Amino acid sequence: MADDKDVLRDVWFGRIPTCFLLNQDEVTEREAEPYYLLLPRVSYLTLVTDKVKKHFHKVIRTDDAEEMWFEYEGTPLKWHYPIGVLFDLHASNTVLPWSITVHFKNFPERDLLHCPSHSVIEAHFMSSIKEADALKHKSQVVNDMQKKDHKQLWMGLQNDKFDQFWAMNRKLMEYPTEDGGFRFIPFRIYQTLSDRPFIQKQFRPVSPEGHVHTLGDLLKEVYPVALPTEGGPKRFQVVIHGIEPLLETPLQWLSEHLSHPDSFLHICVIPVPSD
Amino acid sequence: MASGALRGGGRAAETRWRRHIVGQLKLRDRRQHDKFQDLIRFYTRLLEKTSLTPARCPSSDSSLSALLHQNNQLKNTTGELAYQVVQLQQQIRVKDSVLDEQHARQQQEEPLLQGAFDSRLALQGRVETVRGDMGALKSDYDALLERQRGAETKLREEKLRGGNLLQDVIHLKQQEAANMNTRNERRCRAREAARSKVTVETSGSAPTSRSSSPKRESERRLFRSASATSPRILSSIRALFQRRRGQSVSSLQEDQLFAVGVCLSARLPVRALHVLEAHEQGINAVRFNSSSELLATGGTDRAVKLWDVRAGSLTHRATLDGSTEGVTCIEFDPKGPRVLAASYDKSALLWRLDDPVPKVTLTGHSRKVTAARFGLNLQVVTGSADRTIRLWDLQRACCVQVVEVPSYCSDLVCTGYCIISGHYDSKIRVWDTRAVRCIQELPAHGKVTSLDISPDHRHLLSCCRDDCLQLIDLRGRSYERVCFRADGFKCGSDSTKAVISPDGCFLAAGSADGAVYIWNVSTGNLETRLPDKHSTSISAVSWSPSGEYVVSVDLSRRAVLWRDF
Amino acid sequence: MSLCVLDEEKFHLCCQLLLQLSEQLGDGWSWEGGQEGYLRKTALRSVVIDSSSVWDYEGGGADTSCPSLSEQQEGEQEQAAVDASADTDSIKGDMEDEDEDDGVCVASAGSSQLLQYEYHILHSCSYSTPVLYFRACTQEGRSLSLEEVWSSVHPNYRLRLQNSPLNTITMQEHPLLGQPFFMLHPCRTEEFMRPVLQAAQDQHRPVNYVLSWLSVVGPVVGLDVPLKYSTLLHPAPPPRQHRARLTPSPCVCQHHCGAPLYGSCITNPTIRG
Repeated sequence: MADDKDVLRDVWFGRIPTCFLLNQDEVTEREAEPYYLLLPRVSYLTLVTDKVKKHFHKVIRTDDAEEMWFEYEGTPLKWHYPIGVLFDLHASNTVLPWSITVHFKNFPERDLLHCPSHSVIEAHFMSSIKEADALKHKSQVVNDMQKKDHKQLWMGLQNDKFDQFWAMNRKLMEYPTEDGGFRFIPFRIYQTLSDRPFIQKQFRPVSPEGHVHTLGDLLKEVYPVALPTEGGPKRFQVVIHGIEPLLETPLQWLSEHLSHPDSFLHICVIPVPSD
Repeated sequence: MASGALRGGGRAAETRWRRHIVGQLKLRDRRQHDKFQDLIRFYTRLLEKTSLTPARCPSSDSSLSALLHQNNQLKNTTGELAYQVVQLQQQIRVKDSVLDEQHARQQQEEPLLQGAFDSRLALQGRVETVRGDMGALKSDYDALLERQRGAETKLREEKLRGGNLLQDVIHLKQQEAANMNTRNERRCRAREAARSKVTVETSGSAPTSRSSSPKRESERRLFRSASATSPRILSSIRALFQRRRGQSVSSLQEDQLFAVGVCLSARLPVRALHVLEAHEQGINAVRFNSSSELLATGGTDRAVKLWDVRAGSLTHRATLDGSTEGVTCIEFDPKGPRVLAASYDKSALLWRLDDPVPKVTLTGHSRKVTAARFGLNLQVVTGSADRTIRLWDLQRACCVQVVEVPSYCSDLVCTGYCIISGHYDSKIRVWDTRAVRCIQELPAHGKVTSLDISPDHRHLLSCCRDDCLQLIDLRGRSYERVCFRADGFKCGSDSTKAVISPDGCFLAAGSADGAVYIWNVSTGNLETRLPDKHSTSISAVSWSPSGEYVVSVDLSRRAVLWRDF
Repeated sequence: MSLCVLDEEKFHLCCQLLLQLSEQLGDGWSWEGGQEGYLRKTALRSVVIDSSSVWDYEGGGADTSCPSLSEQQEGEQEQAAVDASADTDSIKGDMEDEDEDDGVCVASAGSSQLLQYEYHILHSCSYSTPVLYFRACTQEGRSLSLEEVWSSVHPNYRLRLQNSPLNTITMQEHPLLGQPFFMLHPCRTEEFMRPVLQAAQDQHRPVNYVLSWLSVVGPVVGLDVPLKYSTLLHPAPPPRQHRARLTPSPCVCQHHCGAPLYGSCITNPTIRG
C-alpha cells in the first residue's frame, strides 16, 4: 500500500534537531560555539558526527583530544544504540533541539564502548542484522546473501540511501505466506527504571491458533509494567521512532515497517511526563 | 517487500492503527524535523563562513562577541519564528473555519439559486407565449393596415373622381353662366333698340356726366329682373331720380367733414371692356383709387399690380413687391399717392405709388391681416385673423393700440372716429377709436366676409357667407337692415367682397358662379347680372368712384373691366 | 535442527549441571541474576601482551618481533580472506595450520602481565545458543583494550578468528549489565556444535551443550576448561569409539576455529588424526 511505503520513508528520514555543546571543562583556545545538526533517527552517533568532531577540534587542543564521546544530562550516550532510541529514551518530551554535551576526555570505560573507526560501527550493524535474521528466518536469508549484499546494506545506511538499502532489506522482510509472519519478532524494549539495558525474548507474531499478536500482546507477555492497570491511568508511554503506535497494531506489521535498519524493533518505555 | 497479509481485526481496525501511525509520523516530522531544518542549515552555513576567517579570530574578540550576539539573536529568531509559526497556524485554523462557514452558506444559497433559475425558466416560457400572441396580433394588425390602405386608396380615387365631377359641374355652370350672359347681352341690345324711342327727363342740378347716365340707369334698371315690364320701368326711373336727388344732398355732419369726393353717378355696367389675366395666381383684392384712374389688384402671387384705366382698357403700370405672402386687401390713401395692402404674411404694407419697395411694413399681427384701412390722422387700422384690430401710427410705423376682438375679423371700414368690423361670429361691431371700445354690436346673417361703407358713411354693406348681402342704415338708432338675395348668387369664399356703388344706389357682388350680381338698393331686387366672363368664382369687385367702371376679379387670375357701354 | 537449538530451559538445566560439576571441581563458576541470569567466573591469568604490536583488523599486523611469522601471517591472511569469502572448507587451511604449527614462534617483546578475567556465560535467545562474555583488567583496574585482548589470544586462534571478522571477539554491551564486555560472536556456534550433538545423539550419549560448547570456545579466550568436567560426566568411555578424543588437535570443522578439542568427538571426515 502507498501508506506503507510512506511509513518506511518517514521512518528512514526521521530527523532530530540536535545542539552539540562542548563540555565546559574542556580546555579551549577560544569560546566554542554550539554545533547544530539534524541527526538521522536510524543512524548511529559516531557515524554522523564527524562534522561535530571537526568543528570542536578547531577550538580544543587537538593533541589533547581523545576519543569523542557524548553525554546527555549526565548520562553517557551509547553510540551503538540508534540515535532515535537514545532520544526517545532520554529526551523524548523535552524542548527541542536536543542538547548533547560533547566530551573529549575522561572516556567512561565502564559505560561506553569504544568506537575507533567506522568499521566498528559496520561490524556492530551487521551483527545486529544477523541476529535479527537469526530470530526471523533462522539466519537462512542473511546467509544466502552475498558479501556485497551485506556491503550494500551498510553503504545504504552510511550514505543515507533509502532505495539502495531497501533493495536488499526487502529480502530480509519476506516470509513464507503459510507462516503468516516471521519465526520470532526481533525486538528490544528499553526502559529507564532499572539498570537492565534492554529486554529481548523470543516472541511469535502469530499464535499457534492463528491469532495475530499485537503490540499490546507483546508488552503483556514480556513487559507488563508498561501497560496501564485495569481502570488506572496511563503511566508509561510506549514509543517507537518517536511515535506511540496504538496497542492494537499487529506486531508483524510493526516489525516489517517500523524496525530500524538493523531489523530490530526498538521500543522505548518511558514514564508519562508529569506536566 | 511483502506487505502484511494480516487481516485480523477487520478492515476498520486495521486502517485505524495504520492511519494513526501515519499521522503520528507526520506530526513527529513536523515538530522535530521541519521546524529546524532551515534554521540548522543556515546556522551551519554561517558557521562555515566564519570558520573561513580564522585569521581574524585571535585579533578580534569584539567580532567574536558580535558573532555570539548574532548567535543569541538567531536563537531569539528561532523562538520568534516558532511563535510566529504558532500564530500562523492559528490563523490558518481561523481561515479554515471561515472557509467552512462560506461553504455552508454556499450550500444554503444553492437551492435558492436553483429556485431562481426555475422561475426564470418559467418566465421565459411566458415570454415566448406572449411573443407568440404578439406575433399573431401583429399579423392581424398588418392585415388591417393593408385593408385600411386599400380603403384609403379607394377614398383618394373617389375624391379624385369627385373633384373631377365637381370640375365638370363647375364647367357646366360656367357654360351656363356664359350662355346667360350672352342672352342678357342680347336682351340688353334689344332693350336699347326699344329705348331709343323713350325720352327721359333729366334734372338740371345733376352733373354733366349724368346727362348720359339716366339712360344708362334706366338701362340698368331694366336689368333688374329678367322680365322687364314698361310701367314698372317708368316708375322705377322716377324713383331713381328721386333717390338720387336725395342722395346728392347729404346733410350729415360727418359727411361734410369728408370730401365726399368723386361725383356719384353710378352707371350700371353692361359690357366687359377688357378681360385679362392680370396676375399669375388668383386675385383676392381690387380697388380703384379716388380718381378712378388707377386700379390696384393683389392676389396670391404676392404682388400688387397697378393698372392705368384709360380708354376702356387696363394697362399695367407698376408692380409693387414686398409682401411675402398673398395680398388680402388693398386700399388707396385718399389723401395722397399711397397704397396700403394687407397680407397673409401677418403684416400690412404701405407703398408710395412710384416705389415698388414698400415704405412701411406694419408687423405685429400673429395671423393673416385680412383688412387694412387708412384711418384718421395718418393712422392705419388693420384687422386680422388673430382676433385683434390694431391701430398704427404711420409716421412712427408702430402699433399704437391693440383692440381685442372676440372673433376673427374678416373686414373693417373706418368712418371718422368709428371703426366697424365684421367677424366670423356673424357680428358686426362698431368701435370708438377714441375710447377704443365696442359701441355697438350688430348681428349679421352669417359669417361676415366683407364690409363696405357708402361714401356718405350712411350705409354699411356686409356680405355674408350665407349668400346674403345686408345693408345697414347707420343713421339713427334703429340700424335698419335690408337683406338682398338673388337666385344663383352664392358667396364664393370667406373673403368675397361686395361693394356699394359710389352713388349708393347699387350693390355689386361677385358670385361663385362667375357672374357679377348687381342689386338696386331702392327696390331691393337684383338689377342685373353679368355672367360669362369669369370661369371661376369672383373674389372681389370694385366700383370706380366715377361710377363708370366696375372691375371684377376672380381666383383664376382674371380681371374684367365692365362699363355701361 | 532442533538438536542444536538450546532454548532457555535447557540452558538453565545445562548450567545447573555445570554448576554442580564446578562445585565438585572447585572451578569457581557461580550463577548470577536469578531467573534471567548467567554463569560467572573470575580468573587470574598471566598473559603476554604484545603492547608494541600494532595489530588491527584491516590488514596484517606489523609484528616486528616475528617478521617471518608476520609475513606468513599476512600471506596466509590474504589467502584465508579469499577462502573466507568463498565460504567453503578447504584442506589448504589444514596445510597452513601445519605450517604454522611448525613455524610457531611466540617470541614477543611484550611483558608478561597478570590480568584479572571475568567470564560470563549468557543465553542468546536470538541464536538459541550460549554466548561467552568476558572482560579483563589489569591489577590496577585498567580495562584491557580490544587490541590487547587480541594479542592475548593464542596465535592459533587468532588466524582463524581473523578470517571472518564478524565472528570474532568484539566489544559488546552486556545484555543484562549494560557494561562493555568482550564477546565471542555466537553465529557459528551451531555449525560446530552440530556434529558434536549429532554424534552424541547417534551414540545415545547425553551431552551437556553448554559444557561442550564451553570447551570449544573457552580456550580461545584463555578460559580453562579442565578435562575433569568431561570425565566426571562420562566416566571412562571405551577408547576405540573416539579416535581423537584426547588429542588436543585443532578443530578443523567448518568453523575453522582451530580450537583444540576436548571431550567430545568429531565425526568430521576431514579430521586428521
